Amino acid sequence: MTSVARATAIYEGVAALAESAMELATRRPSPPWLQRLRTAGVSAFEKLGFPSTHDEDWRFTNLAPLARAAFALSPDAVSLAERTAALELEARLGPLGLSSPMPRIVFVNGRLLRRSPGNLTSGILFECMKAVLATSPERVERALVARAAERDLSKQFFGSLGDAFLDEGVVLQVPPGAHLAEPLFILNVSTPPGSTEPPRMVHTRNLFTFEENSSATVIEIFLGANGPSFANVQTDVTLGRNARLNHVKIQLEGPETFHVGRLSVAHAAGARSASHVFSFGGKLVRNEIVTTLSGEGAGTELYGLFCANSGQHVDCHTFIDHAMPRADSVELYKGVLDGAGRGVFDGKILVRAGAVRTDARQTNRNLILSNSALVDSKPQLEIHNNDVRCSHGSTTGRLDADAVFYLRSRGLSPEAARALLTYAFGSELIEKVASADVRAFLENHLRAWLPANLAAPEIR
Amino acid sequence: MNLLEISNLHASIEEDGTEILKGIDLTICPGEVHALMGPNGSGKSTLAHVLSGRPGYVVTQGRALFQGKDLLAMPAEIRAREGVFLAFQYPVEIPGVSNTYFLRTAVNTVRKHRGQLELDAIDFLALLDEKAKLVEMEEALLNRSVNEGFSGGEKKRNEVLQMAVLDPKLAILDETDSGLDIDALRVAASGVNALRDGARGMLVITHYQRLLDYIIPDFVHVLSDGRIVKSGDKNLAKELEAKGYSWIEKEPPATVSAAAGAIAS
Repeated sequence: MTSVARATAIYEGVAALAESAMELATRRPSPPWLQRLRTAGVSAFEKLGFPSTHDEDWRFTNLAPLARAAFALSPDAVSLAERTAALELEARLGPLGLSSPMPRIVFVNGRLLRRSPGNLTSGILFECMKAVLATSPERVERALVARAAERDLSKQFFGSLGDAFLDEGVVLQVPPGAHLAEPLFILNVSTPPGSTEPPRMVHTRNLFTFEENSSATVIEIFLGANGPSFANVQTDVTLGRNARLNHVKIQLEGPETFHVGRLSVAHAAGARSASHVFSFGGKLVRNEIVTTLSGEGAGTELYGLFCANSGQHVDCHTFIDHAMPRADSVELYKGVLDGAGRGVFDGKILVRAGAVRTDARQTNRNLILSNSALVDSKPQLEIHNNDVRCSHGSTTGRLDADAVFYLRSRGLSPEAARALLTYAFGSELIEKVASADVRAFLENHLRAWLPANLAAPEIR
Repeated sequence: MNLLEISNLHASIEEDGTEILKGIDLTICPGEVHALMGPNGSGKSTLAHVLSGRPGYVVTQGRALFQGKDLLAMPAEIRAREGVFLAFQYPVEIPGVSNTYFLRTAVNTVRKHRGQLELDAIDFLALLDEKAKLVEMEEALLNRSVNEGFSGGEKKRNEVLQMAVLDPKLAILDETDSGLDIDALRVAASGVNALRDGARGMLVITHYQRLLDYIIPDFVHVLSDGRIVKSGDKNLAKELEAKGYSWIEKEPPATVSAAAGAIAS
């Protein structure tokens, strides 16, 4: 394809997205503020166009394959085939499967399949966005409008795209002082389109609001069968004073999936969040985590494990904004790259002028298992005052030859030794997850991902 | 049959071709404990590495037979499964792998190779519990990552524990005494002694005579510049301690080498 033809294809891709968004807007009777928000989203992303590698934020990730591909929204009704396929995939979730007592919302190709509130206490809203927009849009109006207005329009192509397609997702509102013992579970399943259907796209808009002194754990899993698809997931979280969020995102989509996600968390004073991202699947995956420590004494922990093999590109992009004094942040991201897999870690910590007594630690470690795997690591610290304690470090390397020999000298084959060491490298992040069921699920997945089979570690 | 039969073994460092072992002859029969002493740089650890299959060395001449099989032709893991165990001078830390999980994986790999049934979790833990007592290993250390944050003594005890659990036919202890205080040394040595059963052969490599006060060898060999230059019984170690290695190095190697062969076989 010539460069002109390529540019034309990308331009047509944006035009097709705009057309699709406008069509969606006409199908959804909505209050004027919502229509304005969608329309503003359309004009913003049309004007921006897909980010290119000339954009520093996208330097290592080329979106041209996504921009050139054509995707369509799924029809409103969930088909029997989708329902069956989704149930089959859900059954494979083991400890997180159908028997799990967690309150859960299940989407298939972006439409609600099932909502089971479990034993949620009253006063907690855990509902799908479409239902809230249809019955009580005033509950989300202020937050959605405010977040759209805050958007850095020069940057957020995918955020604007999310506004333009605003329709479905999860609304979570936790009232003051409420503590949810059981994690809330959100399952997003994508199934391959029928032979005559175009590849599907899903735009998910999540809005979580935690009032002061409340706490909850949210687990989001993205699961997909083979077949091309595009998921754009925009999650905005607001934490009130001393509120606590534990967020786990597990991304396990098929090898032809494009997945772009952004989690943005705003912290009031004393609020704390932890984000755990596990990325195993997908053709092109971008996970952005943006945390703003906009209250004194707020804190955040960002953990990520990304695994990529041939044909996969996983980009982890994090930004921690230390805007107020005495806030702390800890970040640990690990990448495991095999075959011709590509990985990116781009993490920035900004310590603003007034943010004295900031404590920030950032670490990125990558393990390269083959000669053709590649990872780009770009840790950044930008500090605008002296009274801080900040550190960052990045290492990329191969398995320790001494450790491999040590295991071989005890009888393990070279393959088993490498698998065990790779597992151990990644499992550090699994161990940071509080839920035993989630840990068990992740352990199985990490083992399944390894190049050689590894016996289940029944004994710890 | 001899357990280990090394003849005219020459080995070099792969990277730069430096010859370290310059013709080793040594035979170990079942049940025998041989001590290998020698100054720094004489090739003691290199011999341990070459016998265990550590990458980075090239054998240029000679051979080593383990129960009549060509040991040097086997990959490291097969040597381990056949029953050769190396207690490392510097045990490797393996973050993220629990000591117990690692040991069970190793034991079952070895058992499978020997045609034995794999141990289930309960049987394995019973075995581990029994062997841990030999080296006074606390349960907390069993549940921690392999050697991670262990003290010098804990690491060496962990090596002896692995040896006890894996039940090798030949154990090579590479400077197990280095970096240990006297109490830690005593515990490690009593663990090793408990594993002397009349069938297991041992090659105890040490720089100092001190360890041999606790692990009494049947034979003592002195290595100098890649050759065994003197062999004798446990009294040789004491003599060395009194006179120093310079005493050995002054003697012409050819005559003592012949004596070594005579005593060792």
